[in-house]
Amino acid sequence: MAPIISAEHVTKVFRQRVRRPGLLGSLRDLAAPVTRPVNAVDDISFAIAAGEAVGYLGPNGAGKSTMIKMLTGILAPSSGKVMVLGRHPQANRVENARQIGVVFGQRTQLWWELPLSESFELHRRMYRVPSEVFARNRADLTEMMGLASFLERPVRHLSLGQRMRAEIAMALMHDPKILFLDEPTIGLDVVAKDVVRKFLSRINRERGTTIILTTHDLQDIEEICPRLIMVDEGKLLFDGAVADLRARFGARRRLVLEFSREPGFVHLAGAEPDGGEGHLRSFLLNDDGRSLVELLAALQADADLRDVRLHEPGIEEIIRTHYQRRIETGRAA
Amino acid sequence: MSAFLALIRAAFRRESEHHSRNVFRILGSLVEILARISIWQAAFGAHPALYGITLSQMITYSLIGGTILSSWDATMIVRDVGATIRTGAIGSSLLRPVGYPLMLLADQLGVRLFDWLLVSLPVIVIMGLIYGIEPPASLGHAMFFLGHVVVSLAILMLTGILIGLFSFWVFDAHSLEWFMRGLLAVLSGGLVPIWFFPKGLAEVAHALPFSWITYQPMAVYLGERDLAASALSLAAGCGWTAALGACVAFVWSRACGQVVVQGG
Repeated sequence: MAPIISAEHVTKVFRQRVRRPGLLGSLRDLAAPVTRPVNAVDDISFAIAAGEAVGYLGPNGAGKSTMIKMLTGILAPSSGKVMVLGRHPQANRVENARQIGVVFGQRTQLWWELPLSESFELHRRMYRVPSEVFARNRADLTEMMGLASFLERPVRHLSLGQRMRAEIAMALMHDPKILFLDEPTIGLDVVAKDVVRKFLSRINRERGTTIILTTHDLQDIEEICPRLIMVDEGKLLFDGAVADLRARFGARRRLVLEFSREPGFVHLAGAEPDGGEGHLRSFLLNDDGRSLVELLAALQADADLRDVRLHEPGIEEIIRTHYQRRIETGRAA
Repeated sequence: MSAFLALIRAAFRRESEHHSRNVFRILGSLVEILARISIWQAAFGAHPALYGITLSQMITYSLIGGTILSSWDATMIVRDVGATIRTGAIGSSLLRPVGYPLMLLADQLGVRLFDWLLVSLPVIVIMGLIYGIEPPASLGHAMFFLGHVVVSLAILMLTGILIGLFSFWVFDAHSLEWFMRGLLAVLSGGLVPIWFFPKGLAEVAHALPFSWITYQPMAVYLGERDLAASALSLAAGCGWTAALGACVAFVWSRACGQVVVQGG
């Protein structure tokens, strides 16, 4: 099936002003500003099919929002090509906007001073939603997101959690084919996050709405997105199933052994010691197919093993390992 | 069209939420009109007329020209556009399936209509009762005046949007705002009618569209133009409106490539 979103060698360069020190420097900056290019997005390609839910992940400043802004048509790429639903989103901004829904966690699409219901009404007119479609969607979304109790309240009086639910509901009022979410759970409490995640996952499943979600909260991705695109410093690091991430980044399972008494140095063939004190010893397992039983059988008989725990690495850990490694190599260089 | 009207209404509703601010706007406008009238009273002194204009005509000019035809507050749009660019809030507007200049126009119209109804009208009534206000020179003049009011509104809004769009290149919207405020205060005839201008400046003012904001409509209202001249002036104003509209469309098409959305 043809992708509904594609990025081909997309690069976005911003010009950043370089400030020179001192009074003389600021005068020179004024007369002849010096800028240097910053690649917010650096040669990224991917394709997304209809109905997918994709997590777009990266640390702050990795170029996530810039990519979303290019896909939603509010920025043009410096080079390369983005296509959304067969169009260049920036050249066809208005037509593109009609078919997508967008939620920016840190900005509001709602009318701050007006009651929520009026924001919905304005949205209906701007997106030219037929009355019966609007009535049905409004009723459904109000029920699913629990908006009924504050529909008539001005948006500025809503809590962040209420507002975010309303933002997402509004973004879906016109039955968009694609829903873009930029940090939709930022600043929300655990309960609100849970509501939002369950809802998004349901919309993706039941309505077949394609979801692209940027976040740095990995749980968002674990619960909503089977596919993950990972970027860092503008570059693509990983694009594939969340399940394949471990293999790709070589994150290892951790084995923790608990002894009844201080065991001294413990050697475990096929595993690398990774700290531990007192009665505990921790190992990182080399993924060489050896079974746990085999590993433990090799322990000395008098080791007095009391308990064994095995930790599978979550994406969070995998990615943390990656970033730490990057910082370390950066320092070494 | 439905979206456009809905946006006008939303801006109107938003303005009506600021109760205390609106009370102070009425008070501020009353003081401003009082100051203008006092200045003209002092300038006329014992003279019944200056350059063929009577004090009573000047009071009417101050009252209407300083309220519904005033350019002063319309410069706020430049500040607003500048702020949305600086904070990156422009991104939210650009996500909507409506042309950005059209959204700006609807928003400004909503604000302006609110101002007319809840600030200008009370001020005209109150000050008119105290100082007296002249009616339009004739029914024909009244009709042409109404046409001019529409043109005045269009030229003012389009000028504001045009200068506002320059914020995409000039990051300091404040300087743009004051440039527009000064430019319009003088060249619209809002502070001093163009018939009191020195010859050279008057020629400049006539050659630009801004005199249609305050001066031309008031000249028609007060009967300083005959009906034929009023019709010509209205046609010229419509021409300027079309030209400014084309400028806005052109500058916006340039600005689109210039968009930098600030912040994450």
